[in-house]
Amino acid sequence: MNDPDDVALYEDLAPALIRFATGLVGPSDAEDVFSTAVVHAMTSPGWRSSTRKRSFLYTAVLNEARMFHRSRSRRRARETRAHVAVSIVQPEVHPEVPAALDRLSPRQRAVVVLTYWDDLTPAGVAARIGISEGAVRRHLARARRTLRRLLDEH
Amino acid sequence: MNTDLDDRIRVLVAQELNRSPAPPTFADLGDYHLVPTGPGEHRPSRRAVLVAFAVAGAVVATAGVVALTSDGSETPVTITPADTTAAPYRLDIVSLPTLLLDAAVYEAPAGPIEIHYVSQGGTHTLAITGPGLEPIELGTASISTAPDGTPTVGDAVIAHLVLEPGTYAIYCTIPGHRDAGERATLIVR
Repeated sequence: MNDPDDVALYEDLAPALIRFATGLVGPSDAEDVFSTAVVHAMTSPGWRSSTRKRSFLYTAVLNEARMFHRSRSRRRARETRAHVAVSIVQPEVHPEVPAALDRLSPRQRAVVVLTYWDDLTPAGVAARIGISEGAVRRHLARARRTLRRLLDEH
Repeated sequence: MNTDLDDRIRVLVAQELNRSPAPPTFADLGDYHLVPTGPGEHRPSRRAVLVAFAVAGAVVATAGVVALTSDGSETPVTITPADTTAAPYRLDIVSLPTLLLDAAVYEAPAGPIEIHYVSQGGTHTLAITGPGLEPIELGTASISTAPDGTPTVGDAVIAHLVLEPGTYAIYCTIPGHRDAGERATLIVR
């Protein structure tokens, strides 16, 4: 975690990466997701030998965001099932994300952010997060369909 | 391509990303140690259980574990018999006088864990929330005072938990402390 190259790469990429995390989980949880993903990535066995570290980090953030969403879904399901007499304070369950983006899957959100903020082509998005170009186009099409419906409602 | 739709999505994304926090410095990612868990090692049930709580030695009088309830009152956490099938993993967490914890990310293996929580200055608490875990709060980790009046490092408040894999949020519940940075992530694998 203290390799000078890692520090330089981190300082170069951190602002964009935490914005990417914000697009995936909202500003309240972005820092936790971002920090966890970076630490995981830079201490993983494949990090040293990786020749595509930028993509490695973006994929790590996306995977961490997916884990975050799964965990949040499970927590919400539990809370729905459990009608306890005394509710427990859950300070982490209300991420401040716009409703429209929150309706997308983490991968759809990733594709939307990289397309509309970073102006990447489908091929560029595919290379950045390690999925096929066809998958990028499918995620983007579904995301646009969902967003069109939600935006037209308002 | 629906240009109007694209423009609206672009605005939506920009509004969201403009609310992005600043990234922590590299140093603030914190030192942490990775403890690999092999296939033969203990894995608890998905339900995290608070199994026991003890306070070490001459602990400050205010130390304790409470559950946070919606009306702000404190109720004792149910204690169940400790799991003695595996040695607990010890995790040290330190509150610093600068309203920070000593790391941004802590890591521990799933299963029994023994959290040693101390303060190096000031009065702090440590709340833990996460998958399958009813939110708990370790009581105040006040610093002690030596006979000559010099503040010393506080006695450890020790909590025994069994944690399932997942990401837990830990933070100080004293107003303002969490926002000031006294918070961290605990990754349990």
